[in-house]
Amino acid sequence: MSCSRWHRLIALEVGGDLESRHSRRLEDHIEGCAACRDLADELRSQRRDLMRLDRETADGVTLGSVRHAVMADLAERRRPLFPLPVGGMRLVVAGAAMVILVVAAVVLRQGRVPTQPRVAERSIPTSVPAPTTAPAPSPSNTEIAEPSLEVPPPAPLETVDRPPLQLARGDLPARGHEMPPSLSAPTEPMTIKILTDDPEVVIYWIVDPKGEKENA
Amino acid sequence: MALILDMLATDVDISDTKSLVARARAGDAAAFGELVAEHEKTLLRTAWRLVRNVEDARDIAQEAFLRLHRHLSALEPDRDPAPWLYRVTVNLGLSALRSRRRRPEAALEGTRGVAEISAGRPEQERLGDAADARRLLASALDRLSGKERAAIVLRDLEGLEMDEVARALGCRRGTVRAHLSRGRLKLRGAIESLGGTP
Repeated sequence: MSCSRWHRLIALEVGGDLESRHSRRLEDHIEGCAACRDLADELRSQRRDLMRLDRETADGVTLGSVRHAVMADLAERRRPLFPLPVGGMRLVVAGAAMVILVVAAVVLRQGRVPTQPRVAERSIPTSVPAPTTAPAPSPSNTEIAEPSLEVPPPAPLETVDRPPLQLARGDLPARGHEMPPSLSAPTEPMTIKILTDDPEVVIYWIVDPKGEKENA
Repeated sequence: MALILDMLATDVDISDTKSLVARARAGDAAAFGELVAEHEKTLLRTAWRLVRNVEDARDIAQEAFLRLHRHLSALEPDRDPAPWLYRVTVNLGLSALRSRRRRPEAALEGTRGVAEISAGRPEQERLGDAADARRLLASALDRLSGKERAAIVLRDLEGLEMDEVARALGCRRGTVRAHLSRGRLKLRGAIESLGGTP
């Protein structure tokens, strides 16, 4: 084997990287070859100088720290595209978002989107028209009064000064009256049964959605 | 083994490192910060030994840690990230060296930020004075191929075991031996041709 091939093994041997099966043969060669022996000494010395000089140089280099830069970079990447404002504005934005969410949830639950308020307040006329027929005479009057051939003139209309009746949500009665949910949006005539002390007397009050009422 | 000893020497506990990896995988930014703090010195030094430039070394180390952060989900929780970091650092360093060789104006800055060497005079005389020695070393290393340079840096300067060097370079042990043998011989020739006395 030529010395150039031994040189490759010597370069490994100086760093302790030569496989043991080659070490014995290399030692035998170096004992008999002055040039290879000199090369081995030079490489060992070179390696020692390289390590020492590099260690001293590396120790003197001001490399500092990259931790801050790395963490800042990661924080920058985690930052949202539209960051929330800071301080009190953050609470305001969060509150507004909460309100929007609640409204959206209510709307979705009802299954409809209110385009315009369907609940409108309106007042009805303060004067309630009196019945067009004369009131039925009491039994006592019929017994005492003589029958008249002339039709009596209609009684003057009574006007009652009452505050405007406020109706809300589909002609419901005035505020303050609690209605069962099933009656909240009447579409059919509503019948109210009123019991009196006399079991033979029962009053039915029929109210249709248009506000007309009948007594039965 | 050398890596483990080195980490022990720098007060780094492997079990702590694995715990940090697990916590960092779970999204704990503070744990990842501790992980960076534990390995940054080693990575910066290795990167600097490869490229001999402070700014490039910092960029390489920073990029290696950012890649580690992206790689955390794929990293085994009970695995020490040091070998992986070494490999990424070496790859980034070799890439920087290739880029530098395509740009001849990007000169080596091996002496930048370097304190004066206070070694004994007899040793310095063999390689001239300290500044000359540093320039000579940087120039001689620059004449090696990237793999040869990385193999010498990891094996001779960082003191890694052969298996660890092979893992960092992504090649077999036999290939690492070839890089080491050629690199050491070329380094000797480079020093001779540059006027130094090996």
